[in-house]
Amino acid sequence: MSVTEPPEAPSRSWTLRVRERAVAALPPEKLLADKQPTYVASWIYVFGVLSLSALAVIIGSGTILALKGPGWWHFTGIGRFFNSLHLWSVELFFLFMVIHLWGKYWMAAWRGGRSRVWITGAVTFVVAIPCALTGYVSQQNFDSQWISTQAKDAMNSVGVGAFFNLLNFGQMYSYHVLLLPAAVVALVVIHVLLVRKHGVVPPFRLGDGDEGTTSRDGPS
Amino acid sequence: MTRAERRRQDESYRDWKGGYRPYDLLKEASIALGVVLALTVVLTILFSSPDEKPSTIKSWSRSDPVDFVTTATTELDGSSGTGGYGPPYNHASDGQHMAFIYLQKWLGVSHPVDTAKDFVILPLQSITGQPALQSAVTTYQSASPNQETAWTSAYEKGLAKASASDASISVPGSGYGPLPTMMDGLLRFAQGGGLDGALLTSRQFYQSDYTKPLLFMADGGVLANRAQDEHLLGTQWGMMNETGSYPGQVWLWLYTLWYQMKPFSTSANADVLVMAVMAVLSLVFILIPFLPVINRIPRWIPIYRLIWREHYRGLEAQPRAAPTPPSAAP
Amino acid sequence: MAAVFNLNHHASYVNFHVGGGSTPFFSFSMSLSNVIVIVVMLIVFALAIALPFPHHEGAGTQQ
Repeated sequence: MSVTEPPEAPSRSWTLRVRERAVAALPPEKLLADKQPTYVASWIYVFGVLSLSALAVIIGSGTILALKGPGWWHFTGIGRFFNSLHLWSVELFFLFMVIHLWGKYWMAAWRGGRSRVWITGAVTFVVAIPCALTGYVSQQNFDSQWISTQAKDAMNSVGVGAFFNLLNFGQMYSYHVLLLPAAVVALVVIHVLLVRKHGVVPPFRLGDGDEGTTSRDGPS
Repeated sequence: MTRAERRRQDESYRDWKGGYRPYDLLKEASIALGVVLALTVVLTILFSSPDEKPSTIKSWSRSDPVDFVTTATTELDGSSGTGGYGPPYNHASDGQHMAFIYLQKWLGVSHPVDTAKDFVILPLQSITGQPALQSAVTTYQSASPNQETAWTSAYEKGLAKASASDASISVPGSGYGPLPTMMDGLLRFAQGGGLDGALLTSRQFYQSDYTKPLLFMADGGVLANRAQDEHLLGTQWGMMNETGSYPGQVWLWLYTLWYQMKPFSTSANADVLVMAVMAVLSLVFILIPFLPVINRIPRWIPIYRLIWREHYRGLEAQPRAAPTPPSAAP
Repeated sequence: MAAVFNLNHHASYVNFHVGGGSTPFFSFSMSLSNVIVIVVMLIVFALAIALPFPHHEGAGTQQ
């Protein structure tokens, strides 16, 4: 904490300004908090971190698959093992993420200035879908052949097929291994930092607004 | 409630001034990671993952030579799916549209495919040591467009009655000009594996773009027959399904739902219409915090009472304080 | 590396149609595996909300 001094002209240093804004938004005790509000007492709250964990397993298994190249998993048992880890972690990711989403909707978790938390989460879900699609068409098996030749019609119908060619394995693999996971991770990082900044949304006050006129409440 | 009141009410939830309890964030994250990793490993050991071998033009031409030759003939006269597709492959049609919006047409032909040249003529011209075949190709190319169409149309009619034996075909009838020789040459080339390679490496040695071989196969029945068998067709909610008994892309349920009902199921513009509906719904989903009625439903259907029942019970147990009016946090 | 349960066989499906004829108004056909995934999701959500969360000592300390 700085000593109170007469306010100075804003610093011209970009670094200083960014650092001060970052520390003001996310002081260490918020970034890595060691306490949580008492109302966080339901199993629904674990689905955010479960989604994050599934994403970590996706990236870990995907990294091994990328290290060995796209053909490896067809020809070795260990390759098939890592491919299976990748598939099931994707299924778990979507499962946990959707349950997390349901929970957050019914908690109206966008309240109190948290609309960007909702938005980044929703956009993550929307971006994860083409990320998965590019994975399915990168498998180099019958599934890829069918999915790519079918989904191309949807892409072409809106003109996206002109620059996003599902039948082009090289392009799809690049999108799947680098571009779209980078987008998902960037969105998730922003989402988590916003949660740390704003805190988990407090409960509805009973009798609030639509439910009645009296407000019976704890500290708000 | 007025909008200003709603905004104040929303603001009043910004900060929590109540109690906290100790919490180990990193420990919880580590436990979650361990649990998810263990769950993934268990699912992997129990179920593994599907890997059905891809079809090839070689396997297609051997297992269903009549379908292969029929498809090749439609590529030659441009009546195949790809031949009449429009952008991004050719200008044969305007593609799908929504009222006056022709996105498919406006984004242009960025992956040009000349079905006659790319799938038939050029591969045939690359075959050496077969003068009769090259002569047939020359005869075809020097004929008038009307003559070419007469030959291909007649051949397609004959192919409908063709029979296959031992991976070769016999087409009854006559008046097909050079087509039987050309198609026989193409069939042998395909069955030997040459056409797979030729279509892939037509531009250069190093390739990762399977557009041509995939479009060719998709124009025939080889992929669709396998797909129908596995319940992967659009009409079978195939988008959500997977080969075998594996779960598929379950999250595509709302996207595939529209294809199952009118007017989408019977429209030539089904894809663009469904994409438009899903674009709107995705936007709605992202903007839920700002949408009236939708953003109030969680208050009206109080599932939150279950989620926060511990908190509400704790409030009941506290001695009643003087009610504090909800005020906007500074 | 073989799996314990081989899922490489034809799936079972849950089907129903609304309206008859060659193009019914709406037809539902989902693979059993997908139905199971969706049902599991709903059950897990319900359990997550309904099951009690373990109490911590020293809860509710005022700031």
